[in-house]
Amino acid sequence: MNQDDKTPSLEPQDISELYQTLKTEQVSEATDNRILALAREGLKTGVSPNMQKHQHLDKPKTNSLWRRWHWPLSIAASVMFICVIFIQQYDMFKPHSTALAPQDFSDIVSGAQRPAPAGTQSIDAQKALAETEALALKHNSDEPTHQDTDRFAETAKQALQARQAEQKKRIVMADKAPITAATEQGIAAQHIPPDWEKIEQLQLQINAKQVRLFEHNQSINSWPQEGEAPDNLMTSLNEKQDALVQLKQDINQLQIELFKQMVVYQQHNPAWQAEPETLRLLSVEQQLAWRKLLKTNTLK
Amino acid sequence: MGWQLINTLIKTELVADETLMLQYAQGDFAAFEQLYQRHKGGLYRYFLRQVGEHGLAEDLFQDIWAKVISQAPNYHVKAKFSTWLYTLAQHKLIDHVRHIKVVNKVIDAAPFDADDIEIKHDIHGPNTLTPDIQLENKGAAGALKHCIHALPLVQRECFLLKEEAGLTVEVIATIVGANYQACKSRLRYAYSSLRQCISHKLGQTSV
Repeated sequence: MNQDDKTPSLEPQDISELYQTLKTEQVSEATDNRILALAREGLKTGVSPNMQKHQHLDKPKTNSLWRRWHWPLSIAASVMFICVIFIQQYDMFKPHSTALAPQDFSDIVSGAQRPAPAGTQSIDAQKALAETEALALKHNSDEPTHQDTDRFAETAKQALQARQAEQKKRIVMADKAPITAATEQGIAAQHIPPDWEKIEQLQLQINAKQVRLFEHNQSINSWPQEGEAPDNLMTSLNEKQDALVQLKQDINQLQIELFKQMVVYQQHNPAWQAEPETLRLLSVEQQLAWRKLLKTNTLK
Repeated sequence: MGWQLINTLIKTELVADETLMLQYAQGDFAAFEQLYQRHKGGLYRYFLRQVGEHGLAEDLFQDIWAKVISQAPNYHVKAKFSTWLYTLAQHKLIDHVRHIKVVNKVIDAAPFDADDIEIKHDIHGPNTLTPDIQLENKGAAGALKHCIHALPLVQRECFLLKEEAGLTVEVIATIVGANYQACKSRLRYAYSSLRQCISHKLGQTSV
């Protein structure tokens, strides 16, 4: 007997139909009951979102003051915090209002007019700069002091000291004082022709430089400017201080030159009396030296 | 009015599985009952054909429905309910198989004991059918049952998902994590294997 003849050729469809006759097994009733009980339990414990929605109605209402007012209080606290931050920031960047009175102007200019003889000039230049800073601080002290302002002044002083160290390398130090130079060159001065035009020119130059110095000091006093980026604040201050020092150096050089020219002119014109306005352009030491020179010449 | 219509539709089995599940999530126990009645047989036999033991199949079956109940509040209709249900079942089965393999490894590592051999539960082997199931294997239907149990796991699960759950090849591929062509091949091989097995079985009995 051929096996192939007896065994039916089963197509997938046949197998499926045959399988359908096998689908008789069922889960036990106990398991059914357990699962249905689980489903009921799920509903009781809040499976249903609807049930959860209504549960909160049974919650006793709390009369806590904080609960009722927490939103307005939170908003008020946030607004206060922002205001405090804003006020602090405003104080920090508020421009220093320094309406200079004429006497303040003279303080600044006289400070600029007192460059020392070459040997000590740099020190007086530094003193003048420090006085300018002190003046700025003095104006600031009239206003309500601010911790940040003090820090700023301290920082400015430190920056100034650092700049002073650098300036020592750059300042052209005259080896001799104008007095000594003038005295030693007294014989030589006779050979230098007097140049009144040069004196007048120097006076004009010193005047112009002093005006610029005053304006520059104003600019430093009103530092920082509104709208200036915080990152550039120290850089701009340093630049201003550099320019200030340069101006004073220029003025010092011009004063030395002017003094020389005046000495020469005096040598050739003993009767000549320098105008007070001209003398005011010199430094204090130079003015003293000039008086001594006149006395010496008078005694001669 | 809407609720009455839905209740009527539930009774007439015209409401989709997904709607029933959503209704249950809303608190309608009758919807769950209907859903359960629709799918309990197929899911139970899916497990039974795989593990070959009534008790274990019921345990796995109960775990799946407990999961369905617990996830009802978060149920969103992203796919067909049957797809979701049998995906849970397939994952449960994989976890079970892994667990059995670990247990077998532990048993293998233990000192040899002849009495312990009977405890091994190898669902891949053809000789693990319990006595009550062995009694049922008579005739072509019985041969088919035995041959299904002898199929490789991947072919068996594809076959059962098609026959018990009535899923399409695309959905089966999604559930088992294979591509369409692989799944189609598995089904083809499954039917071919079953045909040969049944032919062989019937040929043996006829002789």
